[in-house]
Amino acid sequence: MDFELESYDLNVLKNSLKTYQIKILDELMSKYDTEKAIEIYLSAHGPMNTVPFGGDSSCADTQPFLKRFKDEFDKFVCGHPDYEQFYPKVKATSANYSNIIIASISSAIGAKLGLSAAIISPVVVLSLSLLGTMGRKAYCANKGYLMDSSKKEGTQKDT
Amino acid sequence: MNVFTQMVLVIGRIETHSVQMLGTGFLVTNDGKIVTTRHVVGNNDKNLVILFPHIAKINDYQDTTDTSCKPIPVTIVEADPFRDLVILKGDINFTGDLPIISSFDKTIVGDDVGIFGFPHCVEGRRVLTFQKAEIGAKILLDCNSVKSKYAVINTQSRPGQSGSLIFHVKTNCIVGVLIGAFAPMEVGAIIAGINPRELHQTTHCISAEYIKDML
Repeated sequence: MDFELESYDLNVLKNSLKTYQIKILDELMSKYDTEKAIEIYLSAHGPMNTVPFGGDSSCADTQPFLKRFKDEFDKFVCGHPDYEQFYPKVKATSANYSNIIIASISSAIGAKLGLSAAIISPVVVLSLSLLGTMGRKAYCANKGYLMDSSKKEGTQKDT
Repeated sequence: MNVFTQMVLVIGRIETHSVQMLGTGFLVTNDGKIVTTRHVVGNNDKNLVILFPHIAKINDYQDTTDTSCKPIPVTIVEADPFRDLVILKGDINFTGDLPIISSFDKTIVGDDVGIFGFPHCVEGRRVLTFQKAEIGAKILLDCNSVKSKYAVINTQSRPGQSGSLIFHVKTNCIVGVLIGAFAPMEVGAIIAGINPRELHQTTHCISAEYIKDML
């Protein structure tokens, strides 16, 4: 897996989102750091003290989603073989390269977690900006995956 | 009024030999975008459908023994977990005029609103029902530190009504989406599957202005 975005700046990345998502991220980032904003976004379930009338109980507890999302995001950006099938799409060159990356990651991880891509794309944007603060190689160094495809991409490091 | 029979729809999920009805939604664009609440559809759109309208006129008798339906697959294209809203998209081409999407900003407390939804659809009853109520209050509700505009409408809601269309009688505009009822989160006694704390004449509806940014 080999991709580098031109910019990991949140202000650039969030341009791939819709207005309502940008407004929410702006509000969260005005109060919290990126890690906390990710946690808050994934745990949002509508207004407090309001009982819903109908629906699907599958979105009840989001805490497991946070860990699972982070695990899957790390796998994707650090070259785990689980996501091999999605990588060729990401490698395509395009004027909207970061949009393609964000959409690819959102749909791939969403499919894995049983979440619609529309629900997690803002969290993918936040996570990419976090990754950008330390660089992808440094970010992935501690994840136990190898990024270089010539070294059996995605295999576990010997410890 | 008859336009609402074509634009207010049951949201459901296909199961082995049936459709589990989950709640209400309504068309917001002529090319098949539908708004409902996020909690109605949950986290994914696997086997998610809307049911094609079963009556043409609001004054028609609705046959409660007729369990046939025509499901149309839909996908989640936008989701706002803070306002509990999603936009679905189906292969639908609606040629009529849809009401304008407005906001509770255009209403005043005491104004009449109309509600179209499918109360009790989660229990297998498909009856498009019209209710009338007053706006009792305009409020800001918090979700994880993001505040949004809501109205309290003076009516009691039941399961299946989440996602119902709220329109402003004075202007004939869509002003809100029914979300649920106030009830403190501390769970008290549940009697026959009912939380007594939700049995009151007030219902929370999110302002429709948030739909516009999602389209």
